[in-house]
Amino acid sequence: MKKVFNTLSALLLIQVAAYAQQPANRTSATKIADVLAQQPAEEINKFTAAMKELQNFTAEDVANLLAGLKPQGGNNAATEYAANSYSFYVMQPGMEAQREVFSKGLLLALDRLQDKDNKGFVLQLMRQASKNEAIDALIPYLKDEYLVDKAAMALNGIRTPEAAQALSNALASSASEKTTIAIVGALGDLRSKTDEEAIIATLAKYTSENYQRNAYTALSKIAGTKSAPVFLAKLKEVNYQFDKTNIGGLTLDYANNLLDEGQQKQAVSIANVIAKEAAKAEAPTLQVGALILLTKANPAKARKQLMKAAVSNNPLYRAAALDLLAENGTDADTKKLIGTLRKSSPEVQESILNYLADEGTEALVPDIKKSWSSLKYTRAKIAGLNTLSKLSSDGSTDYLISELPDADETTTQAIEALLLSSKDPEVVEKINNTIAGANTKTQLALLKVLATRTNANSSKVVLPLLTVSDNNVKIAALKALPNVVDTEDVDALVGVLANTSESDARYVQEALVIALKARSDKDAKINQLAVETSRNPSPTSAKLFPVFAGVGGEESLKTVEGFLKNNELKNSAILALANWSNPEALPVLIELSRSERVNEHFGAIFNGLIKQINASDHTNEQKTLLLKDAFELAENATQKRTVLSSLQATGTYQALMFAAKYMDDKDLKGAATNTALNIATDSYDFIGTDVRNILNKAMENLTGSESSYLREAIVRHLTEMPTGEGYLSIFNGTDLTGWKGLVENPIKRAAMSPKELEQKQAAADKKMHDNWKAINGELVFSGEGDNIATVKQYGDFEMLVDWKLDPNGKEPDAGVYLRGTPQVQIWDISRTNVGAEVGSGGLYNNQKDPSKPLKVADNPLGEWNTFKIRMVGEKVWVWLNGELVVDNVTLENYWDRNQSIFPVEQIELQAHGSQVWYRDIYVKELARKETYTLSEEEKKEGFEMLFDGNDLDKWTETPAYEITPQGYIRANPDAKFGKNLYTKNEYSDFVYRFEFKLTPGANNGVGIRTPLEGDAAYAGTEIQILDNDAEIYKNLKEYQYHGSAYGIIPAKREGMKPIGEWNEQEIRVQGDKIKVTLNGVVILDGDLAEASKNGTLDGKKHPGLSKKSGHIGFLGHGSEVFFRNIRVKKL
Amino acid sequence: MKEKNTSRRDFIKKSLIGAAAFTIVPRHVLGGKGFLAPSDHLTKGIIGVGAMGRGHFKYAGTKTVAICDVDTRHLALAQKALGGGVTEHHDFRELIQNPEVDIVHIATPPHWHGIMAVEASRSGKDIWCEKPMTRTIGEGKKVKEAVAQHGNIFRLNTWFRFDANFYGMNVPVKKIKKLVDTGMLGWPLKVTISKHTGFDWKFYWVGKEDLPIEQAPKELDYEMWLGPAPHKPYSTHRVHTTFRGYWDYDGGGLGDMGQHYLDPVQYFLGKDEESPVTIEVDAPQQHSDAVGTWRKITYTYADGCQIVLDGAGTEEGLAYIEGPKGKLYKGFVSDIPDMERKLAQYPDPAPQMTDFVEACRTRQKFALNEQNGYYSATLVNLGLAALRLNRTLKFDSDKQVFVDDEAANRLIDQPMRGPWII
Repeated sequence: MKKVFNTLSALLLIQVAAYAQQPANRTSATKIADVLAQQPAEEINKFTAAMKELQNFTAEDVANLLAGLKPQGGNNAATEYAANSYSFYVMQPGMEAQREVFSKGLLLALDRLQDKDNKGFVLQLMRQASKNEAIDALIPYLKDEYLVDKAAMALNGIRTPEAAQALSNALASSASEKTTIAIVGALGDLRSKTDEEAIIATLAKYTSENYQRNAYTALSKIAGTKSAPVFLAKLKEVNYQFDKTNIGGLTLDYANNLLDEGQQKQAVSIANVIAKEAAKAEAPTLQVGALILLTKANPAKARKQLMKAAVSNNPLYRAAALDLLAENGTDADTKKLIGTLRKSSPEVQESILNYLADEGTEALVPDIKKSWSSLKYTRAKIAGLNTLSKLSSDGSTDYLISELPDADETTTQAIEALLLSSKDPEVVEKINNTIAGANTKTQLALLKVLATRTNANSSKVVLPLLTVSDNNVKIAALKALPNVVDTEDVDALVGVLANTSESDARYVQEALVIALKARSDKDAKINQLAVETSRNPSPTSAKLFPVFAGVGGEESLKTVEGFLKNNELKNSAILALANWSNPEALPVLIELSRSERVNEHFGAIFNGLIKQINASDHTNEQKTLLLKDAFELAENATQKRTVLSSLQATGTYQALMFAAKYMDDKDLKGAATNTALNIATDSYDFIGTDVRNILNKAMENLTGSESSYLREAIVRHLTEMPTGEGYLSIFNGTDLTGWKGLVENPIKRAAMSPKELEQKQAAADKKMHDNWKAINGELVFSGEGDNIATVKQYGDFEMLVDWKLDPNGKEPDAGVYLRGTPQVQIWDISRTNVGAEVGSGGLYNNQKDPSKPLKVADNPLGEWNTFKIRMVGEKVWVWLNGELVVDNVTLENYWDRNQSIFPVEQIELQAHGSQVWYRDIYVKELARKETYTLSEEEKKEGFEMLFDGNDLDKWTETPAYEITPQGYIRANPDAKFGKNLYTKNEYSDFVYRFEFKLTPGANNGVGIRTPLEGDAAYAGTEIQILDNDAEIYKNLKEYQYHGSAYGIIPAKREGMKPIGEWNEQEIRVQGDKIKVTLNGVVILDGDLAEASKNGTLDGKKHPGLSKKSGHIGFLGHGSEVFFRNIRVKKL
Repeated sequence: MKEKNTSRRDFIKKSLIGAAAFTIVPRHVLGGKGFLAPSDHLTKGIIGVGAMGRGHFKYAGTKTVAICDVDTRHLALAQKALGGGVTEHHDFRELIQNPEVDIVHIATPPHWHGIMAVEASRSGKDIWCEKPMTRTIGEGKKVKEAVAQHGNIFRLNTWFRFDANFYGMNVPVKKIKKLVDTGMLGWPLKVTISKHTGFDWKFYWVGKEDLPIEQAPKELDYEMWLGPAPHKPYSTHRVHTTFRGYWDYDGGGLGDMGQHYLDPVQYFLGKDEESPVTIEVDAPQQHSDAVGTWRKITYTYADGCQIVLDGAGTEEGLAYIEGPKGKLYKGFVSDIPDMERKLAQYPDPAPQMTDFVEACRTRQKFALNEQNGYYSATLVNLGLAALRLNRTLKFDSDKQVFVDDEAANRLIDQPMRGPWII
């Protein structure tokens, strides 16, 4: 259980001293192992529990935890998770005491760790969680060339005057550029005023650009008054140009920081120098910075300069000035800017107008309009229109429209955009009112607006334009139509449609669909159109087909389908069906895809088919069947790829396996790989060898820039995939390997002698080969002969199988026998004389339990169907084409109705009187819940079953342990501590037998003669259960090995099976004698009294040794362990 | 310097600084395609020409004249892709100083973005920066200040707020913004970014613990690659295509895809000058070095709007946007009857400046710039902080600091390794 480690490690002396003060029994090493075993925590409650446990750590414990760090690349993750998270955790309000303890531990660790990168990790933790208490310890590292950066970062994180002082002191004695850079950088971040002169002094010492940039940055942040001449001299030296020391920008930063600290005079003086010299040196970047600073320092004084800059021909400078004016200018300034428009350059005009759009008011609109004639430049004009639109409460809509007749193309587009986004609520109404009487150019522009922005009256003005002579206007009106159409326009549009050219018809059709859909009497109106169309078919009738396709509905579909028989209109009908707006046309598209393979429109049919399969509300299993059918019809690689891609969304195992078949096909491998890998990685239900092979293959196939990421994702998925097998194919598609002929029934077979059975089997196998064949990857039954059976026997399982009946067969019928017993029914549902109308999938031969399926989910006769069958114990579930048709129903034993179904038997496919096809047969075996019973010998000896897999009636209640579906007791790692599982009864001398299975690093224990409360290892005695080969337990003492009487008598480290396998153990206790046998190996055989007479090995008191009787328990501790088949005998 | 507001929800009262809505007629309106004659081409220099940087060659309107990388293999690949003849630099500062270069593209891992953007800003050049804008909130503030101080034009390299159909929505974000602005969905809104709403958080970008120490290849200047990041021994998985899995350089899938997904949401929620006030996480414990996965991150703004990043994707049937009056699902499907026809009655959102070259010429802010980009990068960085700390964080949107959480606040300004400093 908890006490894994003892103190006799390298840190013995220090630790002993520390432990002496601990109230708890737990040792440092134990606490550490406990915390590490929980890293990383998946859920928040577990995370919090681990953090809480760390709160019990002393500084020594923290240091010991970090002492476990191995050189980089070693197995450090658990320690890193724990320490890093805790460093954040202790920074929360109210946790100062814990933080201090943690920080002290970090100091100890920093001192003791030898590896530089491990020290570096501790410095990172200090950066995150340390405060002043850490400063002294950090100072020496400021001289360490390798660690100086991290030490400086840690002081930077501490960010107190004391940290700055430490850096100051270090600067004085810093001997190299490297250490000086780190120290100066941190001093800059800490704004350490006292170091200004010392840093200035270093500028002469270290002249590299790197150093200079770093030091000037620090000085700019510190913003002391002595730096000013240094900055200005350097700036002059580079002639106000940009250089690698960044001196220009840093001087501005410096001056701004001076200003922020109230050194206005000095800041302004620097800015003035920069403003003047940068202008001379043509460095607008610096001019901008200086102007901003001067404005900030004294807006009133800077205004004149701003106004001048606002009309500067340098766009950078001008833009900055206008930005500043926006906040600091007056109304008079704004007016003055309008006044400059006339004599400004076009670029300046544009800038000013854009400025006015943001900063002007409606009162300025007349002035702006007055200067209109001076705007010659298109971009300036557009800016002006934008401004007018923005500033006027009516959006200047009329003005914008009135500009259209004379506008060039660019301006026209700009006006359209302005009308579209105009906030004028009347904008559409104004357009409606203008359009009829406007010239062509205006009409074209306004129709373009109406194609996006409209109101209820727009259709009335657009409709008449559909018949004007100007073709451009007509087309613009057509394009606007879908957006403006009104529900009342249907009849008019039907008329228009008849007279519209093929190429323009789509706009009218689109508008009709929208109008019809919005009508409350939609169905009646469609009926009316349908009747008219069907009654008087004409070549123009076809123009309505896309309308029916767009609106959809039963009547529409019936109408268009009707025209499939009309030779002249058939292809139009086909195209409409292929483009049908919802999946209701799927059945007819399936038919067409088979019947019209030579049609010139097969491509359209195929695309429509796939689209509708994808959009349908069929189950994923049904979609998979339909897509597999479509794949057979595909004419080219593009169509096949479409199918393979569509399979992805079904997420079915069958789709995965289907796609995987094409991962080597040169034309299809991309789509196949993509689908297979996405299905496989989206589900952890799909496991086992086949899935692993597919994913490995996918990794080989991946190319392109994202492939390294995808490969990482696959590797991760494979690592996390549960072990064990999933679905296995039991039909290889080419022969009958794994199958055998049927001999009688299970009861009769059991009664046969081996020889008799062998003979009969040989005969049956011969017959099987006559009647069952592997043809084209399908398992085909001829219609004569007996069932085919799996060689293997199955207990609990899930099975997938596709099947198809013969539409021409006599009484089509088949079935799947589960555990040698009839049957999951398959039949032609039209055979009402035998009751087949209930559908396939039912447990047909049941008499007491339901024999009928819950619903009919069969596909039409002759089409493929798919079953998923689950059988657990005597219960059966069946899904037919993805629909649950049998839900948790007992399968009765047909061969002997007095007994339950056989626990294991073969699976059979039924022979009936007609041909049947099967394919894609997969079986996944399910772990079975086993109920254990005492052996005859144990019964005789007087053993009692304590846990047989079903209930914990003989045990105390605790949420820390649960029964798994397989019938094991599982120690739940998410449970809190101290909730052990005890027998209700007490035992004194006894033999205790059980099986257990470990997970990596697992830790548990058997308590003997324990009370229900207290620490069982001391208040009773604990027989250790432990994965003692795990890395985190590497420093184990021998009396902590698995099987030891914890702290008292060591066990031999022998006999344990590999992790994940079941072990058998027996603990025999009689008086003081104790014997532990693991998988037949005696690993402990000793005397508790003898072993403890001179004190126990762990030096602790074990009052439990004097107990003569007590409970037996499992002493859980946050790790996952499984137990089963638990027996006890009192001696 | 005032913050220009390009996306204000003008029907929602806000108590922010009083700048009027800033609107620009889009570039395509002004000149149409092919507006620039070849001789007018602005030039660009690209820092970082790994897979991401080489993607920058194709961005329209500018011509690549210089490239920079600390791995000579990248330079060779880039030269080959460009047909040769492009100036090569090893030190990004030389590229920034190169007088041939008008615009500096930053396509390095994020731990370099802040330094390089500030450096380019101080040089007076315009900047095109990869997402996420910066790796820390503090570096983002510094970029914002530098660009303001020097008058540069800055664009962040994600485009969904103004261009292209937005992942699973099949429509441009403009249309989503229009819908939100109409108020048809009501207010406040909850936006869920999940594989069921069209945005799959695939966790390709996780790091590894216990990386082996390896010899850095001779072609790579590893010290310069690390730059401001703390020194750690070289391991192949740290660098190049897999660096996103380490906190020192980025933040996993949230770092890589976060700003793509979050920036448009910030835009249509009208949160371009505001940060959320709480950030909640549901995630496994994170490692000190390697970025892990997460299940859910929830951002809540002061007005109740929420952005939920559903990493686990366990909840199906969620709306992309959920409001008290209506919902919008993947593919721009809504439960509001006749939504499209209703939408046609409303004005379009204000046009945005979407042509970078035009923005540079006229010195107008680009649609996605250092200011709104700062806020969407901050969304990413807030999420990353909450993940690393594994607890709910409270944030003061005005002061841009965490409330009562010194550990989180220490992540805002993370010190750099000398000689790098920002």
